Amino acid sequence: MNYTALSFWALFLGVYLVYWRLGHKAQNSWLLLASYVFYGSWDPRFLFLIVLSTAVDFLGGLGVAGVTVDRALGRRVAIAVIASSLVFGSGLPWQEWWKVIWDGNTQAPFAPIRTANFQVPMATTAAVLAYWWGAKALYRGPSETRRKAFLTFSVGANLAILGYFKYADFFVTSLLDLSRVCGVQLNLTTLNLVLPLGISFYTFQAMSYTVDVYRGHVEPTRSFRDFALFVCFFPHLIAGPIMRAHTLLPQITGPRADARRTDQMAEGCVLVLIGLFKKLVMADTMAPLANAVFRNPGAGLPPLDGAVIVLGVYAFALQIYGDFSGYSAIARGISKWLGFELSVNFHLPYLATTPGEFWRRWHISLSSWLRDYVYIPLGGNRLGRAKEYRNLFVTMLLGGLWHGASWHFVVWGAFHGLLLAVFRIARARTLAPALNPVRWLLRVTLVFHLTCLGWLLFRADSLQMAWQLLVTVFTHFDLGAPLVRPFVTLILVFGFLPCVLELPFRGEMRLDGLGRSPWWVQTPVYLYLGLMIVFFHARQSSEFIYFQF
Amino acid sequence: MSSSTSNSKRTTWLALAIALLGLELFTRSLLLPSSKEFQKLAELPSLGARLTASPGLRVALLGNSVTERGVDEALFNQELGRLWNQPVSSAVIAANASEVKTWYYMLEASFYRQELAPDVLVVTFFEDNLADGEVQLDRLAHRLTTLNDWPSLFRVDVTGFDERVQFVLASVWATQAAARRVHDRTMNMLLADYPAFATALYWLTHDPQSPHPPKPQPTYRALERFIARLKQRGQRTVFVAYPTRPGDPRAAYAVDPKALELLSAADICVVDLRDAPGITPDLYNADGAHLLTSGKSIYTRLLAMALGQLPAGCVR
Repeated sequence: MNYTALSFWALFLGVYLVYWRLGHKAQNSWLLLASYVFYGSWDPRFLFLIVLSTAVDFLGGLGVAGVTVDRALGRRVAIAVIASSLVFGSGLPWQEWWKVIWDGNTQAPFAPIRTANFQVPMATTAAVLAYWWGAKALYRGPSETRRKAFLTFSVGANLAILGYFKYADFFVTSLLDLSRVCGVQLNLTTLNLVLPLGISFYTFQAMSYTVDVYRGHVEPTRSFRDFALFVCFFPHLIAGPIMRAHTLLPQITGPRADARRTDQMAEGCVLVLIGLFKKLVMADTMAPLANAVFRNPGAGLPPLDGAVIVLGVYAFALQIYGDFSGYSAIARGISKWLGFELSVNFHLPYLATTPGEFWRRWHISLSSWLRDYVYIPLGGNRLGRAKEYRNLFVTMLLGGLWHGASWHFVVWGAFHGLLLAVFRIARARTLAPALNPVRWLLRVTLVFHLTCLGWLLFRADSLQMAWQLLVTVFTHFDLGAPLVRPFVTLILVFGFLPCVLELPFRGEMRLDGLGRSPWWVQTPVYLYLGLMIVFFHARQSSEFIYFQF
Repeated sequence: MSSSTSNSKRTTWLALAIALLGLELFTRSLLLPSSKEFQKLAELPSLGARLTASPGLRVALLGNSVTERGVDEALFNQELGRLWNQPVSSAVIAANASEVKTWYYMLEASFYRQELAPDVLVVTFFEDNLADGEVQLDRLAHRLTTLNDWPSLFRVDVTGFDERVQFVLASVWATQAAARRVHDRTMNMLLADYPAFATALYWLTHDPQSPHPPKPQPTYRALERFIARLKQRGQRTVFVAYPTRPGDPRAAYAVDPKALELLSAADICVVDLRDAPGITPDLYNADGAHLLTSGKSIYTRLLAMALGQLPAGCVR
């Protein structure tokens, strides 16, 4: 269920109508239930994984801080993990369970002889028991050993979950390719695992909690429910923004002002409207143009012209911006209705004058996460220029890998790492000059096109496709090709114009300014957004791009 | 919140309400009535009444734009009348891009709701017209259905939650019902020939030479409902498989055996004109489906001849 489905809004209405009638703790429980229902509606099996990840980091945070877990709390966490493994991780059909409970039917296929169905619950129970045994020993030992052990446990477990589900097949396939090149025969098969939705987002968010507790930036929470809500808060669960514990956890643990009596309701409405416009109108109109260029090869397909390819890349740049920033805007809007503030995730990224500035404006929550948990621990810029550039490169390489288990994502990340390093070198050799409007425009144009070159690598199915498209751009470029004019028109009207309209509000930074504008400013803006959605939402809506990460 | 901000909010809400109301009035009184498509649908009851009041054998030709642009009514009457040795009156009951889901309601609107019926119903289809496809929500909501049709609609046509909400919205909010028209007209203004662009874009990504990925198994609930209604009314019916441009792999289509099975089980005759002699590629326009003026008379004669040669019991 996603934000473009009316069924989501119908369910959300049900959640919202009850929410503000509840006390603070009941609100958290209600939101947690709603979050699990929304997440589980994609695939209930993934609920086990998110509960497991939650438990790991909850206990990890307490262990790092040396806070003893009392028996009642420990039992609750253990029951939650084991129960979720039984219900969601065992693969047993629920109807069979019901038959046994209702009919007392001991002949049901799930009878204990089928131990294969119980592998995950048995492994989970064993892991829980091993944890309790190990934790007791760690709590009795030296504090620094305990802190490092729990940190390693938390980060290691999260990376293991992420690595297994997202990267196992990538590494196996790459190993097989390498072995073929080297003439070695390896007997490996891929696992063909389904990628759990939002796994990259929630594991990063949960990991950052434990690291922040270790660094003393945040106190660990003793409420499993509140921490579970921090991990799976549904507005941002699938595609961010990735929230830090010191920002979101206090909003969960502390009471919230009634959003219905503040400007948050109106601001939320505006954000949701903007988000739906960006997704349904901008992104979904650009999608077919981009898909036409990044198509699967076929002998019977007409050849593409270089100018059309360039326009297709522009279309993708606008598609991914509309898609992702639209999702983030809706997430922020819904959160405001519930009394929460999520951080701004996009700030007019295509107006950046350097690649570094681009990453301070694009997917801000991820780039700041990479800065704080990868770049700075690697040494940042404190170990000399050469290591600074190496750290930038490695950080962006990992950022590329985060986006997807494929070499073209790795190359995309490396490309941005290289850009960051090169621009740092260029800036180091010259004092940063004040930019007059012409130079500013030239720099923005340059950085936009370098970003688009990166998007070509990002969107192409393979490095080979990216290379072929690039070669065509330089060898068969014809502005008179038949599709150029319609592509340009659609990109200008449905892609470029909305971006220009964002400028007075500095993206989402000055939306409060819109709320204070006179009615003859607000009315046309709301009418434009609403009617564009009604009239021009693409008949075939595409899935949010970042759901695949 | 200060009182000036509250006043501004109230004024904004008021301005929005007035603007939306104005747009709704404009849509109901000018935009929708000016649509040729909506006008045609509004005239279906009178078209049906006119046909049933006509002399001779009354033949209704139900279908989409290929029927509308492919059949010359006067020539059809003349040719079929000659073959059957009796006067024939006909009427084309067609709506652009319509399929079996819409045809059911077009037939209801034209005839059955008025307790009228043609003597013979000829339903022309091609590609997936008989399968459960996309619903034309705006037409169904605003012109072709009544509240009494909602149970059937929700059972067969709009089965998903999102579709039902959109249908209900389009039923009460004309602006929503007119959305597709506004979209298509604006796109035509921006792109000069939007359908041609959309087609070109489609063929950029669909390789006619590649084996098609397996389509999900189509369902035929709408066809089953249609057949049941025809049987209930004792309607003599023929289904015609329309000939798209011969020799064009992009235009060629197969008729699903499941659809034929359903028609056969209901004793409904099917005429297959896909490989009919006399139909040549030059008779079609660029899309390979719609006939040019030069092809209209040839197809009309072909259709009349095919119907005229049907065994007794099929339509007479």
